[in-house]
Amino acid sequence: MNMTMPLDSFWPGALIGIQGPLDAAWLLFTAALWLLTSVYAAGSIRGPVFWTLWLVSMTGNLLLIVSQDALSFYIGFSMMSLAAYGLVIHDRTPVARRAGRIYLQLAVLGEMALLSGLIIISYQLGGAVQFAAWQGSDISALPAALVLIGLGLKAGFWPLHVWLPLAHPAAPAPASAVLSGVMIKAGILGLWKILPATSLMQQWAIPIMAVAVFSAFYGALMGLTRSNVKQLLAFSSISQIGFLLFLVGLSWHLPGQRSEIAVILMLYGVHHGLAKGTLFLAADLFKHRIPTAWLQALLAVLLLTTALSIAGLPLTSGAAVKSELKSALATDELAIWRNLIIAGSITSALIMIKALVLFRRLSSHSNAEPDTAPPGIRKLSAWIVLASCPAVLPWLWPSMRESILYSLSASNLWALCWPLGIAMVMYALGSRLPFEADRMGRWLPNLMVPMSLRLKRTLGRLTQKSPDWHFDTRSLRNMERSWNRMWHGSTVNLSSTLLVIITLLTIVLLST
Amino acid sequence: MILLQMMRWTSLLPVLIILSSLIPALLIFATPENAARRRTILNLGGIVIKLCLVLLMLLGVSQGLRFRFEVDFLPGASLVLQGDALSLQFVTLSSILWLATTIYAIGYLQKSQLKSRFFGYFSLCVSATVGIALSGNLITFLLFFELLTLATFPLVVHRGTDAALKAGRLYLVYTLSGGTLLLMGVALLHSITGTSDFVPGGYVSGAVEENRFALMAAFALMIVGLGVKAALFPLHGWLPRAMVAPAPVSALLHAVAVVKAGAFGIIRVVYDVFGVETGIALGLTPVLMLAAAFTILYGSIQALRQTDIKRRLAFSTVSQVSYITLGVAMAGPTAAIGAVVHLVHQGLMKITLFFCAGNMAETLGIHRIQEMDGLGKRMPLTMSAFTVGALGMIGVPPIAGFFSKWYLGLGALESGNDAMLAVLIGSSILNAMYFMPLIYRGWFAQPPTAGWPEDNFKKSRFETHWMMLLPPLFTALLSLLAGIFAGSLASPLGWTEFIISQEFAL
Repeated sequence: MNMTMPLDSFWPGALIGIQGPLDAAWLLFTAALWLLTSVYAAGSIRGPVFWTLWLVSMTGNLLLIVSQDALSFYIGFSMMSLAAYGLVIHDRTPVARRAGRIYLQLAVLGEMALLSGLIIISYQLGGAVQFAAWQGSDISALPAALVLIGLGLKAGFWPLHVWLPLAHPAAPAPASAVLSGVMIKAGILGLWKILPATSLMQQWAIPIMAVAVFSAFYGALMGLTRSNVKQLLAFSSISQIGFLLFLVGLSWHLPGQRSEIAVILMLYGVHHGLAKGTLFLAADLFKHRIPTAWLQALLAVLLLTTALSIAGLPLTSGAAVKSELKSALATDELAIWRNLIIAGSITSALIMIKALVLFRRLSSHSNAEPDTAPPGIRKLSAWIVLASCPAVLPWLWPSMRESILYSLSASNLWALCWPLGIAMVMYALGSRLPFEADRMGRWLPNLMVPMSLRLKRTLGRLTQKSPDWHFDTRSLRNMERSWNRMWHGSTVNLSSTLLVIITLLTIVLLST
Repeated sequence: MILLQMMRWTSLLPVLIILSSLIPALLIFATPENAARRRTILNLGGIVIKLCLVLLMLLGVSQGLRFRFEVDFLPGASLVLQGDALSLQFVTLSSILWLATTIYAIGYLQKSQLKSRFFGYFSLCVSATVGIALSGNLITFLLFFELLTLATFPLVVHRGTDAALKAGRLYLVYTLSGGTLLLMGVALLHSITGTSDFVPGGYVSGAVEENRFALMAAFALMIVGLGVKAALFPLHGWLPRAMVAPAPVSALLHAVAVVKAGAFGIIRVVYDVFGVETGIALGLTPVLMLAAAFTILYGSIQALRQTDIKRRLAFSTVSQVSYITLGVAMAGPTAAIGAVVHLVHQGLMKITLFFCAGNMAETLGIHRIQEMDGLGKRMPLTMSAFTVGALGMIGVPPIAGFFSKWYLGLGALESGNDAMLAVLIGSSILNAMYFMPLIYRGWFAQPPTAGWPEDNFKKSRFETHWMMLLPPLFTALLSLLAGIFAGSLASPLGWTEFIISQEFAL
C-alpha cells in the first residue's frame, strides 16, 4: 500500500502519502479517534479558542502521519504540539495552568531538540529531507540523540514523561483522550520514520529496549499509587508507551524483521490508542448519572472489556497484540525480554484492575446523587462506538483477525490468562494489607514542577527591573569642559602632553 | 547619451519606479491639510503605479532582461540604477509593505495634525528605500542611504513631544555618524579600486595583494556605518528609543526602511563589492559573524527584560535583523539563502506585529504587556494576526520564519560554523520565552474586570477602524502563505534561490 504525492509548490521537498500498512492504519485510526472524540467533546465543550486549537492540532497530527519528508513531519509535529497547549489549559484552573506551563516548556524544548537533530541529519545527507533518502544512510550519534530526546518528550516514556501525569488530569477528558490516544504516539511514529536501523541504532537498541521495559514497569507501579483516575490512566500510558518503544527498539535490534515488527507496532498502536481514548472519555462519562439500569450494565460491560483489553483479555484486541508481541520474542536469545514482557503484562493488569475500582467508585458516587446531569446523546453514542472497538475490531480488521485467531490456541490462551489471574490475586491480597498505596504517591515528587516554576519566576524577575542603557550626553559636555580646562590650565599640561607624544613617537620609530 | 537611454524602456524603468513615489511625495507636500481625498488619491495612485512597474520589472528580470540607467555624477563614479534579482527582492518587499503601511497610516492618523508633512516624508522615505534597493554602485547607494536618514527623521519626531524630539536627536546622532563612517569607507575604497557596478563576486579581489589593510579598514568602516542602521550591537541604541514614533512609522522603520536598508547594505558590501572569497581571504567575515551572533542573543535577552510591548518588539528586531547579517557572514550559499529570504520574512512578520501593537494602543490604550490580558475576546482578528507574527518569529512552521531558520541552520553546518546552529536554536528558545507570554495573555488570560484603559472605535463594525485592521491581516496572511508555498518559484524562498544561484554562480 504505497501512495505518495509530491507537493511541489508547497515547502521544499514536500512529499505526502502512505508508505506501508503502518501509515495507513495509523492514519485511519487517528482520524477515527479524532472524529469520535470531537463528537464527544461537542457534548460539553464550548469556546472558539478551544475548537480552533483542536482543529489545528488535528491537522498537525494527520499531516505528520502522512508526511514522507522531514519538513512536513516537523510542520505537523509542531502544529499538533503547540496547539495542544490550548487543550491542556482549557479549564484555566491553577492546576491546569501549571500543567500547561510545564507542557509548553517541554514541548518547545523538545521541538528545538528535534529541529536541530533534523537539520544536522539533513546536512549530513547533503540537504536531503525525504525519509526515503534517510533510510539507507548512516546517522551520527548527536542528531540521533537529539531526535530521540525531542520525540521522546512527546512520546512520554521514562525519563521524559514528566509532563504526562500533570497534563492529563488537568485537561478536559476529550483532550486527554486525543493526547494519550494519538498525540503521544506521534513520538513513536516519528522515531520509526526518522531513525533507520543503522549500525549506531543497533548498538543503542538494547539500552533503549531496557529503558522501554523500565518505563513499562515504572508507569504501572507509579499508577498504582494514584487515586485520581485520570492520573492513573496517564501513568498507564507511560507504561504502554514503554511497550511501543520496545517494539521500535526491537526493530533496531533485528533489522531483518522490520516489516514484521511494523505490523505488530501498527496493531499495538491502534489497539492502545482506541482503548486509552475510551478510558479517558470514560473518566468524564461516568461523572454523569446514567439514567437506566440496562444502560448502566451496557456501559459497565464495555468499560470492563476496554480496560481489560489493555491487560490482554482473551478475545479482545489486547489479546491479539500481546500474543503477537510474545511470538516476535520466541527465539531463545530474546527469552529474557519475553519474560520481562510477561511480567509487564502482570503490572498492566494490576493497574487496570485499580482503574476499574476507581471507575466503580466514581460511577456509584455520581449515580447516588440525583441532580447529576445525564450524559447527552452525543457523548453516549460516541463513547459506545469507541468502547466497542476492542471487542469488535479484531473480527472486522483482517490484519488483526489473523492475530486474534492465532491467540486462540490453547497455549496462547493460557499464556494470556495466567498473568491476569495472578494480577487479580495480587490485587486482592494487596488491598487487604495495612499499606495505603495512595499515600505513597505524595512522597514521590515530580522534579519538573519546581524547576518549571523557577524558570517562570526568573523570567518574571527579569522584567521587573528594566535597565535603560543609554549614553548620557551630559557626560560628553563634562568631558569637553575638562578638556578645555586642561588646555587653558598651565604650561605643565601642554608640555607633559607633548612629552608623552614625543615618547610614543620615538618608541614607534625605534621599533620599526 | 542620456537621450539615447531615454529611448529604451529598460533603462527608464528603474527611474520610473523611484519617481512613482517621489513625485507623489512632492505633490503631497503641496497639498493643503484638509484635502484628505486628494492626498489619498496621490498616495494610492503612486503605489498602484509602482506596483505595476515593479511587476513589469520582475517579469523582465525573470526572463533575463537587464535594467540599467546611468548618468554622470562624480569623476570615475556615475549614478547607476539597476534592477537585478537581489534589488528586486527588496523593491518588491518595500512596495507591497508600503501599500499596507499607507492604508494603515491613513486610518491611524485620522485625528492627527500635519498629515501632508507626514505623508510627504513617508513617500520620500519609500523613494529612498527603493533607491537603495536599485542602486547599481556604492556611490548611488550612499546617496540614497543619506537621503533615507533625512527623510525618516521628520517621521520619528512627528508627534513633536519632548520624548519624540529627544529620540529624533539620538536617531540623527547615530545615523549621521554612521553615514559619515560609510562615506569614509566608500571614499577609501574608491581611492583604491574605483567604483564599479555591483557585481556578483565583488570587484576588489585584484587589489587584495597590495592594499590588504586599507581594504580591511574600508570594510570595517562600511560595516560599522551600515551596522548603525542594521542595529548591530553596540550600535543599536537608537532603535528602542525611536519607539516614540507613531506605529506606522515604527512598522516601516523595522520592517522595510531603515533597519533593512542597513542589512541590505551589508548584503551588497559582502557579496557584490568585496565578494565572499575576498571577505574570507581578508579574515573579515568571521568577525562579522561573531558580532551578529552576539547581537542575536543580546537582543533576545534584552527583549525579555522589557515590559512595554513596542520596546520588546524593538529588541526583537535587533535580534532578528542580525540573522540576516549572520547568514551573510557565514559565507556559504545555503546560509545566504537563509539571510536573503529572512530579509523578506522578517519584514512581513515584524510589520504585522507592529501594526497589531499600534491597534492595541490606539483602540484600547494598551501599551504594556500586562495590559494584554484577555485581548483575544475583544480584538480576535488583531490578536490572531499578532499570534501568526509572533509564532513566525519563534520559528514555528508553517509560518515563513521557520524556513529562514532551516536554511540558516543548514548553512551554519555547511560553512563549518557548527556553533552558530546552537546560537540559532538558543535564540529560538529565547524568542519563545519572550513572545509566548504575550500570546498566553491575549488568548488565555481573563480580561481586566475594571475594563480597558481606553475604548475607541466602539461604533466601528469591526474591532477597530477597518483601515487599521486590514493591513495586519494582509501581512499575516502573506507570512503564512510565504511559508506554506515556500517551495514555489513565486515565493520569497523560490526567488531567493534564484538570486543566490546567480551570486554564487551555482
